[in-house]
Amino acid sequence: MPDALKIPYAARAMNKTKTKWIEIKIDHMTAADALYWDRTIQLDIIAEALKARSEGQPVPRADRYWSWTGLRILFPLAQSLRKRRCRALSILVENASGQGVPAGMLLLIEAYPWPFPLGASAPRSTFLWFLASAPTDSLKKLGVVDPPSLGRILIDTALVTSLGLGHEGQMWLHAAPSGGEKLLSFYVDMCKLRKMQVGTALPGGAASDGRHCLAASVLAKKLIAELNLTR
Amino acid sequence: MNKMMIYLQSSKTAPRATGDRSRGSTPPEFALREQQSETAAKTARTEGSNETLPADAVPLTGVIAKIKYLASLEPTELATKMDTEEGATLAQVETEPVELKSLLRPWNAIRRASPEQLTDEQYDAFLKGEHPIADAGELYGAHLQSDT
Repeated sequence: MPDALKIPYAARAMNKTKTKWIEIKIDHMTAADALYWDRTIQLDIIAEALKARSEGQPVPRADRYWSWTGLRILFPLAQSLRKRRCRALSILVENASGQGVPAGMLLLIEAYPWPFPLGASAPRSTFLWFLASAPTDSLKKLGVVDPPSLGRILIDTALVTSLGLGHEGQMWLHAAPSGGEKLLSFYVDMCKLRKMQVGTALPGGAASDGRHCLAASVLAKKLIAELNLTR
Repeated sequence: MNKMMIYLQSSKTAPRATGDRSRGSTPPEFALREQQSETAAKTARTEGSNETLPADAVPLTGVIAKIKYLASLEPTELATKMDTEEGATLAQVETEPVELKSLLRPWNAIRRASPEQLTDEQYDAFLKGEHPIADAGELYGAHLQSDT
């Protein structure tokens, strides 16, 4: 594996049908990116949730109440009071008008205690706090001709951040309870993260509800290597 | 460079924004909290005490109270709240009306971020909602000016 600090974020992702590479750009999220998301993509997510509720179906996404503008502005300020830094990233794709449209969003806590400090490669880890990918139809409405598949890329971005910040790739997250088994399966089966056992002690003093997923250093580096073609 | 104005919603108990609520309006809950805050401040003044109130006893309202509340929660706990209707108020902010088109960046002007640590100066810019890398910010400015 090349020098950890020199591993870049992904630069391309497969399209939904896995037939073509789509160029992506992962950049620091501005308030403008977040506001654009809230005024376009988030409205589709809310509409989808309302439709599901009206039909008596389970609400499909955990992010239906989110405002990325608020997440981008307020949450890093709040974490500053805890002396923690956040990192907010946008995954952008080009639309037919030559503009970058946000297709994925992440908010990370850059350095957060690692739940298993004994024998760990590093005492700290990156906590993947919030992540979302835009529905395919939303991106098409915004002029993205061939939307990319970003599931693994979102997780890879968190792993690469952890590596770049010196946490040896150690990364963990909590699968939103409203996402149910489907969301947990996405992290464990598709993204290949390990599931934490129910009752595992967390750094804040609480116990895991069994919906925390993580990658220790060895797994993280393996997962990063699996996506080398995207860089 | 154009600056986007963002208004932070006042209270963790404030109602969710709706399309018809005008900017700057004060939700009733927040008005009550402001009134309580003012009453408490008057009480403190009239008591004539020179002692400084402990931080927890200062009746803060508005954005600072909200940020302190967000900071008081562990990340997983806060994320779980964001999964519920309460999440809509916790992350609520208001913004100036702005053209959607002006929020997008030209594809060729977008740089790729590095996974490395930001400097303190860059992080300060990030906390303000800006792009943390100064020259990338200038690119946005150039774009916005050429559009107007």
